Amino acid sequence: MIGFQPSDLAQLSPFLVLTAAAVVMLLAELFHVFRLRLLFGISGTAAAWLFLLRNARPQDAAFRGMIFLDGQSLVFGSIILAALMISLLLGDKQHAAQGVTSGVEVEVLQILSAVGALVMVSTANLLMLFLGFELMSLCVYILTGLARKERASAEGALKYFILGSFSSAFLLYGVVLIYGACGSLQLAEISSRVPADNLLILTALGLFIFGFGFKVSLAPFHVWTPDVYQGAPAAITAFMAAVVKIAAFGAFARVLFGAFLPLASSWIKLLWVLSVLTMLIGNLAALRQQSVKRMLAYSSIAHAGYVAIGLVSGVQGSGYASSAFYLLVYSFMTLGAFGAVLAAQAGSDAQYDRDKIDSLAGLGWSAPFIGVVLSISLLSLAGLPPLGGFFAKFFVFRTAMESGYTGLVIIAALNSVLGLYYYLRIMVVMYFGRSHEVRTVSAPKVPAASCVGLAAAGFLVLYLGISAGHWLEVLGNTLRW
Amino acid sequence: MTVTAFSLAVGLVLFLLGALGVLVRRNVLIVLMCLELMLNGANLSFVALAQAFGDLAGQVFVFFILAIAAAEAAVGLAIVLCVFRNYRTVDVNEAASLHG
Repeated sequence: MIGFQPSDLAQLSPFLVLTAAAVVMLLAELFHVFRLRLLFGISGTAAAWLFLLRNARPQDAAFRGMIFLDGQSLVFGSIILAALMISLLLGDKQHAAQGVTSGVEVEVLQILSAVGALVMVSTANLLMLFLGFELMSLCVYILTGLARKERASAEGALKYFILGSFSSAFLLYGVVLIYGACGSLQLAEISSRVPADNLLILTALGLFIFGFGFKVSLAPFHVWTPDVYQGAPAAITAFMAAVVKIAAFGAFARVLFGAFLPLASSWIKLLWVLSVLTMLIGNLAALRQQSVKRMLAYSSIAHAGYVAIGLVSGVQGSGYASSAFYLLVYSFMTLGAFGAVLAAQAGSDAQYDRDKIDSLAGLGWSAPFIGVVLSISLLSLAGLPPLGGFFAKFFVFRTAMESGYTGLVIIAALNSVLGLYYYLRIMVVMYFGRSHEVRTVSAPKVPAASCVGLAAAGFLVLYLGISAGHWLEVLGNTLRW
Repeated sequence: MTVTAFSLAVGLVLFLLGALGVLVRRNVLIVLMCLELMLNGANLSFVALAQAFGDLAGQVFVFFILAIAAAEAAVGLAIVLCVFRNYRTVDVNEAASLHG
């Protein structure tokens, strides 16, 4: 049993930097240096990203496989940190209006949750994976309930907490079964020792799919998503929809391809079914929603189904890369959409039910900037060219076709037509809706940082659409390291 | 029945009892206890397996789960408190205004 080398610390540096940023922000709060918290948060995240870029290298595990900064960690870690940065910007100075305590804990919990997410995607050991999973989840449970005076927020937090802990307990029991069957917690060793068609290991696989499926809200395990996304403050919903989903998908893919590859034929069939169910339920339920956040929640469920298509075709083809590209685009368009909803709510008075789709009536004219960002995000979510969302769907469908899953692609394509209806409905309300019974349309006062965040999200969605092919190749090459 | 098999069986029973409790009980505090029971069922199985394999990884895992369980209890109770202040009840069914 050897100790660790100094070079191991370099691999640990992204996590240390991000955690240090959170601690410094807590201390700054203690000494009343309020104004700098956004600066601390952003620079800490940027520094963590630089350390990640510098120290990621192929096939080099630190701490005996506990930390594994390879290409997959680099890809998913970068998306997580970018999403964290944008969501910090979006939420700045907006929390009080959402009923959240104005302390620094909102930012600190988001950063700590991102540390957990980062650990999840950069380890090849089930112990670390579970620790990262719980660190991320526990922080997000608290974030959901931070609007303490709002009934919906408390209720969302309770539901998320109970169902989330329930599902992660099942994931834990899956780890127990794998440990029992293979005698190891390292993904590579598990992969070489996995017995084929063993009931124990198939149960473990099922429990893993349940645990991760819950976090990414795949269909039978999605029931918590609408309530939690609607109940949580909008800035937190944006964070959840992006970071939690990326981390869970990243870790899920690593476990599937890293440990369960010998069982691919079983989990491909299961994921095929789950993916179809997820797309159908997400899109059909989104059609009849009156609440914007709830509708976007169902849309994020549907998008989990599209990402799962990439995993299904990931064994033979380049589906993994297309899934990663989908997640990259998805995180920015969902941040843009929730961020725009958050910004729009800043202008309406609290007495009106500002969560209704109708409350966006006339927004396109009274606040052109928010309107444009929301339109870009929605059109991209709907999958219209030349935006990022179109190419994300296109790549996922193409790899699935190449791997011979034509039926799946047809179902998915029909689903995205369904999606078009409810995304365009918001835009119609926004530009042509009458705002008579709603409120006198006043331009919401959006903080500068929030505008920067919105602009970044909108720009990235556009940019990823224009240079989609290039980035797909980059992601593919990095993942193959 | 060997000690390992017996411990694994008890672990599984604990886990399933906990899972059943989460699904059936309506009082949030009992649900929290059942969640702990599930984690402890997994703990017992880990210890039994680590003992059988002569491998420390399983036992180390248990220490981390204990810490996670403590953190989970703290967060859970805080959320329960928050729900109670808003709804004046700790019944899972009554705290339900979101639907659709």
